[in-house]
Amino acid sequence: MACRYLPAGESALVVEFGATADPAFHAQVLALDAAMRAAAINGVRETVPTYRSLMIHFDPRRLGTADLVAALERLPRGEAGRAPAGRHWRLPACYAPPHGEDLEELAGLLDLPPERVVALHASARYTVVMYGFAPGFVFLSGLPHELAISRRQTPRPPAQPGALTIANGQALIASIAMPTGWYVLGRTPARTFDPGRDPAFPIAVGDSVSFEQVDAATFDTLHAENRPLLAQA
Amino acid sequence: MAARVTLETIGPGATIQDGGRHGLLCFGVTPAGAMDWTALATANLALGNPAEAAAIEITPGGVTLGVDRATPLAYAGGGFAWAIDGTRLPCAARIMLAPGQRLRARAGAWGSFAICAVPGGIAVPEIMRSRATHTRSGLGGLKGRTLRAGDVLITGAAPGVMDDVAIEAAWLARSEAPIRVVLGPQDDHFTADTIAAFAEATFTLTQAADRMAYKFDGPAVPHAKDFNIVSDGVALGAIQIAGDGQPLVLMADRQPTGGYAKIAHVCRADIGRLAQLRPGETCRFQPVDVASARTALLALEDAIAGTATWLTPLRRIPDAAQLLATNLIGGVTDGSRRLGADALCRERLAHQRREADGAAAAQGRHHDLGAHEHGGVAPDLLPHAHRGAAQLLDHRRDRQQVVHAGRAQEVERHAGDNENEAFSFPMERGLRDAEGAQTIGAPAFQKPEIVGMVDEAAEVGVFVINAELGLMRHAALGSVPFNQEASDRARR
Repeated sequence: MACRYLPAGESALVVEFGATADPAFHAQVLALDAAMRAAAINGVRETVPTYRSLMIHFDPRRLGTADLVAALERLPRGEAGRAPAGRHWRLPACYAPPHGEDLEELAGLLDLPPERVVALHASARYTVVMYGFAPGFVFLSGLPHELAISRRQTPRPPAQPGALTIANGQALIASIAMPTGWYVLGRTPARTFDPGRDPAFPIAVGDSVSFEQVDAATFDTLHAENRPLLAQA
Repeated sequence: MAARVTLETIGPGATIQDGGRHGLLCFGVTPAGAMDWTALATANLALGNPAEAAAIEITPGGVTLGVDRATPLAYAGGGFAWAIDGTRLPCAARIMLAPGQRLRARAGAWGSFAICAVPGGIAVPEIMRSRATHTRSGLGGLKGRTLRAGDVLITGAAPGVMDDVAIEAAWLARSEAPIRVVLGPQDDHFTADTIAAFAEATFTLTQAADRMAYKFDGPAVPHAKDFNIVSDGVALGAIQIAGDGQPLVLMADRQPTGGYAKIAHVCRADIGRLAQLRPGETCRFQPVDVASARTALLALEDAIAGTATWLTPLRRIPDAAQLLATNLIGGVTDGSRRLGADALCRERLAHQRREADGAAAAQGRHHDLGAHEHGGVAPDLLPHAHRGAAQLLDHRRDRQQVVHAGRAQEVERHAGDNENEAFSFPMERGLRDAEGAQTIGAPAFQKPEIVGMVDEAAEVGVFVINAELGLMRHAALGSVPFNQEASDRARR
């Protein structure tokens, strides 16, 4: 486990596996996270997996930084420390108007027919890399290379909650309306975050996600009914 | 039966906060929580609450509140100017508020966030195990929003009867000491020279300061590498250096992940002090090793756990008496009655006699004399103590308090800055300027009959100025528009 231990104050530690958004680094992040959960190190409060590192928040009264590093060094490595396979989620997605707000623009920039853009996005199988930015904002890896595009120069007006956006070779499910530099190509009625639901966040980092196309009428029905929309295969 | 706390006025940016919404960072949930955790813990512990119970967090925009039954309230944080009706209070205290009375806070001399705690904490629903408000995601507190005039808050426990006490906690005092930081995780994005210069530099807090982040202005901190990194986790107090080379310290409402290089993290022991800075004020960042940061935090936590030992009885001093002790005015009006100069003079003398008795006793202790001995030395001490007591009252006031015309008044710059200090060391402060008291009667005023109550003066001068500050903070918050409808949907 080649990694660096970097303090983030006296109450947090970053375990960094690399500097880039390499899936191999992310696999190591998830493996360490799983091993930590299994070991239940006394004094650890919570962990935050990201593309290339795991941030560990801990109670400095019960655990010092050096003690934590020593405990991490003792965790099982290799196969024994690999993260268990996550669950798979099939989420409804509507790419039709009015939801695919930037689809035409995006298709023009990529020099692809809009139908092809939709087919590529809807056929991919994604991995949940991390949550960030706001509650329920899901960052996905696995976007087809044909859809790689850089961010907008200037942010566009707020996208709807549930907006499916892409930029920087990544895909994202938005949970609240925010101005965004990403391109909006569809929307899911699924709620990645609902504080009144148990669990509030059913999708875990390391799970996989795919999208199933629905038309606008179906979207409206699903959205209005607010049923448990997170179908699990 | 629980008490109802009605907010009659409240400045922008005030929220309900507790220790924060922890355990959900991996789902993108910002912890929020009190900006100054030391103030939250102190106020709560003074009431016998758990240290992280939900409380009202106010800004320099201040607050005026009332209760529907006699209720003990505790407040702390910064050097805000607190008063009950016309009666000035120390800047950290626990007081009984009776129905019909008004507890009021104004910006005072320093500090950006004060906490007002209630018995049992504020009873709002727990959202994901916390009552902390995070306005940007619309979670917690009162419907996920800032507090407004007219809001009614319910206490979590039935109010009991408690003594009025000043909280003289050393950790609440204003300090110019550097803000301690632990270097990393991306300190390797900066050269050793840059880090040395960062540690020497003085930074000024800009107007871009809110619950989410504090932007500083100072000598540029240049990156040796790309300032963009692949996003990783963000902890409280992270000092991001953005493309412009200026530090941005991430505070309670920070995003859980971020993509800028972080040169260091503010030690938790000092994050409350940093939070209390106002725009335009300066600080330095002093690197310490992680073990020292931990030691400092544990020591501070231990001290705060002993808050009960830092409480001293508080006697409320009427404003009229305070004004009289300055010998600056011939009369005051409070709208319902008016005292003539002679009556005020009599009150003042009586008041000074009472103070002198107390001061003599204090002086006796100061000289390490027992209770039986101090009577014997009193004749020698009284003249000093007498003057000192009068001067003590003078020091409890800041410049905003005294409304006078026709006379230039010299006011010690920091006289009102730290009322705790005045309460802690009354004799030292009082005697230092013991000869300074002057007797100036009504002729010093051109229009003595319109002299208002002290606190009204404070309202006019201080509140307006800082309301603008609050609005600026609000504008900074508003740079990321928040969609209430969206968050309502998210909650359903």
